[in-house]
Amino acid sequence: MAAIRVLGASVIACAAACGGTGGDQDPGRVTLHRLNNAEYNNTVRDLLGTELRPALDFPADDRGYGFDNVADVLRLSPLLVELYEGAAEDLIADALKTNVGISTQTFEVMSPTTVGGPSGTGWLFFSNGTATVNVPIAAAGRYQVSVRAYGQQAGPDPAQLAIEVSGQPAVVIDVTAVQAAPAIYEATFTLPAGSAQVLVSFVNDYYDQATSADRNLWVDHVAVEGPLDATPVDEERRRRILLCAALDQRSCQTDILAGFAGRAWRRPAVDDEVAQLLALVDLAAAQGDGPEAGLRLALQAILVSPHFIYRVELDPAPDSKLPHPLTGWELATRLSYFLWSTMPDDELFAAAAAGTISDRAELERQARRMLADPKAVALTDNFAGQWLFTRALGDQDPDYTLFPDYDDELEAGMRAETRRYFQAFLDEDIPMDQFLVADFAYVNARLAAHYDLPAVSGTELVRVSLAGTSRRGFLTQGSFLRVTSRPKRTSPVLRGKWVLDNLLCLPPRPPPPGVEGLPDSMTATGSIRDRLEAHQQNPICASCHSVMDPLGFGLDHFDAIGRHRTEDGGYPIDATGTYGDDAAFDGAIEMTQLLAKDPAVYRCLVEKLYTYVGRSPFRIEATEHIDALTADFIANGYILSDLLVDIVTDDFFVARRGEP
Amino acid sequence: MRFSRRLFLSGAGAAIALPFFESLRSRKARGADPVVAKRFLGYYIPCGIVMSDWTPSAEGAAWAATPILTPLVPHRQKLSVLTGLDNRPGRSDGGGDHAAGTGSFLTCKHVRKTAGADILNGISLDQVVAPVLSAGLPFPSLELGTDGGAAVGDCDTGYSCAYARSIAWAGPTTPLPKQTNPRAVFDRLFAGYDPDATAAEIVKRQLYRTSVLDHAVDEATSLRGKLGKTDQAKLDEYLTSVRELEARVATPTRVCRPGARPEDNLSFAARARAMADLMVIAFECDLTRVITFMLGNAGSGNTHPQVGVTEAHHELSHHMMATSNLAKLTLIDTWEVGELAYLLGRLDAIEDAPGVTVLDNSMVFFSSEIEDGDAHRHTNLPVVIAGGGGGTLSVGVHRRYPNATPLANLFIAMLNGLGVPATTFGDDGTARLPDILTP
Repeated sequence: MAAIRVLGASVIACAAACGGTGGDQDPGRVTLHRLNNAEYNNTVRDLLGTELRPALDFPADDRGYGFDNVADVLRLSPLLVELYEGAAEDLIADALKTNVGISTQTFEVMSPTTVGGPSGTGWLFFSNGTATVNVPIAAAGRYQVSVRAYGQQAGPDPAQLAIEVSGQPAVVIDVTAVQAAPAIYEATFTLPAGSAQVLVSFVNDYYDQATSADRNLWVDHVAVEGPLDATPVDEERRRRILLCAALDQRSCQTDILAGFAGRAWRRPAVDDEVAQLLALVDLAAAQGDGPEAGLRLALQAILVSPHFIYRVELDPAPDSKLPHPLTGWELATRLSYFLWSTMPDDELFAAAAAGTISDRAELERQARRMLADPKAVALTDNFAGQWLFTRALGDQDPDYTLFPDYDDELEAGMRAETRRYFQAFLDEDIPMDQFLVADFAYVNARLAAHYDLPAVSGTELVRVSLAGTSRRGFLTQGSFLRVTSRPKRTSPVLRGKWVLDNLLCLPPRPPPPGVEGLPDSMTATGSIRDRLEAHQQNPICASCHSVMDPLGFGLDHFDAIGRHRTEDGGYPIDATGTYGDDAAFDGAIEMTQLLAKDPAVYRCLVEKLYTYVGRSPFRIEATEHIDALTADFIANGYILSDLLVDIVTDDFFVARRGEP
Repeated sequence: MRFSRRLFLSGAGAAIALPFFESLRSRKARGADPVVAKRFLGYYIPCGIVMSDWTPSAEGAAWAATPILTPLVPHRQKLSVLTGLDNRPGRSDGGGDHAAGTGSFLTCKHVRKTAGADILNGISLDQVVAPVLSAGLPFPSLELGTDGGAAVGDCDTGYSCAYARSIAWAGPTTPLPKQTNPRAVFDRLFAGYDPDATAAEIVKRQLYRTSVLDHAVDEATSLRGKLGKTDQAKLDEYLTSVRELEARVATPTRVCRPGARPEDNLSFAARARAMADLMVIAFECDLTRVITFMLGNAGSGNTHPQVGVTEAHHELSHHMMATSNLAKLTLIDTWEVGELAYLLGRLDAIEDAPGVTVLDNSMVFFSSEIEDGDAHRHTNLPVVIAGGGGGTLSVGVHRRYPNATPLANLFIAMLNGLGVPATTFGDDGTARLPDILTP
């Protein structure tokens, strides 16, 4: 049985026995894998502890065979490199942020000014004029600008002082103080980090020739205090990168760059690589910048490097089909991106460094540890989210006039329900042959009401029994029923097609040109089912639709937003159909029972996971691996976590080969 | 004082109003021989057009407005409606006409049907002209749109998402992905923008960026030698991209008024409008002279609540001649044309030189991946060309072309007008379409 294959041994044995090829143990070729957007975001999260998610604004990933992590189709464009470069700068700046205390910077007002002259310790404006000071602003926030001033008063008004900062509206203040007792005048501004230009102006000059009454303004210094509202930064993130304090010492710089590159590149950096990074530090020094500026540059370079952007695996002989085991670092990385969609953690790195990860028992132990870790939610978000189409929720809103109850809260509940449901099969080892027929669901108050289930309270999901209802398993969940419907109505065709594509791996051929679609306006001529029966009249259509449509009809008791219904536009629901050649059913419960008994469903799940590992399911060697994994999966009681462990300990996962 | 990209941007907007378009202004100031900054803009709309509400009955300059073309009436002197052009290479192989037609929208090539890695198309019109028009500018071209792409499933009946999402192709296997968040586009256009930077600071920043990219090239070059041939081809995408960016980093920075940074999380209609404003800024600031824009992806399923249409566009486009469906499609189509009219109006309100607007110097091509949504035809496409092409484009009329006139022949004319001496284009472009260029 494939489950007890000895890790790597068969590969090596075969390499000797099969005349220099992998033969039937061929692990297949794996293409250089660019981090996709989800992997990029997760990786920088774990590498830097950052809250930034730069890939949210990267171009959408290419998708192949239903998943967005297939190396062969993940392309890279000039735009993406430009965005990587910008993200690296932002990420390093964010990671090295320090807490900025409140500080006061004081500037004498002597020059440059437009008018006036020195007077005592300050500057006297004898007509309207402006003094300018440029102030470095360490961090964004509120800053108080204070000016010490007095007026030589004359005329009806006191002297007026205007304070303006970086183009924000000027604050005009009456300066009532006189020469004997100068006073401090203040205004507060919200400023971005960088540099602020503070303008201090005398704005109401007065001179009466007859009386020689002359109003002037005297200022002596400008103080800028802030930020008054600085948000605290977790400097632990900075310390995790800047491992030592003597940043100007070569040994410290080496430790920092070798340490960060080793984690970012998911394998130790070699001396030459570190030397090249240190050259960037020296470059900055030659430009007169300090060691931290140089280290920032080198850290950015690490994040722009192909060793970060790609998951690099090397072959001793790139043009040989001879299989070889992955290095510990490569294996830890494959494992981590498969189960977590992110870089290895410290424990995996340690197992890679010690070489123990290549031991089958240790590999299984690590995999089971990872599946129990919260980061394993990546399998739910990225694998199940694409397999089950949950990610499509929100792509298209249902018609708000027909479905006024459908809102973001309900949609979020549906999304959470399916996530929680899949997670339960993963976490609790519920056999996957229950996935389509389970008599429980996870609902909150809103979903329970939506599904006509007994009331529950609150927004948290709780597990409830479906006994005595018409719902069972995944196919009667709101998320699935919604994403396989049109905005105004259900689509038995879309539902049936989804079952063929994603549960049976039997994608139907596309329709002949010009016959797609079913207009909404024709509802008056019959139920949707009646209209779809037209498919059966045309032999070309019937060849696919006679298989596809009934799988949708079986779910016809559920409307376009997943509510139970007994009629459609005034026509009673007919949810009868035939599964395969002759198994008749009426409604979702009977249909899903038939599906759950079909071994094709489990082979298809394995095929989907095999694809998600990053493999084309259409290569010759794939068929054999998928068949063997399926046999184990069924024999071992349909336990998803066991299947995942079986996959990661399989020869094709732990080995690779070159390409002649 | 060094500014990080973000720091500066957060302070941009209202606070800074600086002279814009310096390069052209200074040339204008010299008076004689004003430089003509020719531009190209490709504008894509999905799911075809209700042709009965689009096509004017009369030819020539006196065409009467049809329901869908009504928003363009204020600009009729500066555009032409072209009827009867075919993009036959856009046909699908057994279904998938939206993706196939979109892939071929600006390439006029019959794309290879594949959902895998072996995509094959041709170079698109915008990428042919980009090196000519945008030489020395910060961006050779911009690829913009409103939608990243559906989150799951097939993109279209066995065709790669690359065909469905990209109309700009730098080469047969290199689709150029587009940006769809206006805020991210703004940040990219004005990254490093710092009107206070000294010449020395600018030079240092360029040196640092170049050094990081040099480092990347060195590492990739060293890695390349250790890889098999498929992986080498993958890594070449990276190497080419880094080298291109490195060349652009040396481009002089440009001081131009950025306008306001767009909001995040805009609705579809608001996103479309924000992108139009960004296209105007990009041309106004002379950041690039080539833009392509997709108002939705191939066979878009967007709903259009902004005009009261709650059905998915693609589903509705299979109208089966039902009048209620056609009426809703006409609402969508008219809104799309209204968005084009808004863009043309703004481009026509900015002068490159006294009496010469940005629109006068631009060539705008507007069309869809198919003709009629129900028939999936790639013949008789709905086409508008707009702008003056820097004095090369003859516009202001509705023209009918004989059956089987290739769209690619229009592209040859446009290429010639933009300064590219092409005589063939795509699969079926063999001669310049007559009457497009000024005599």
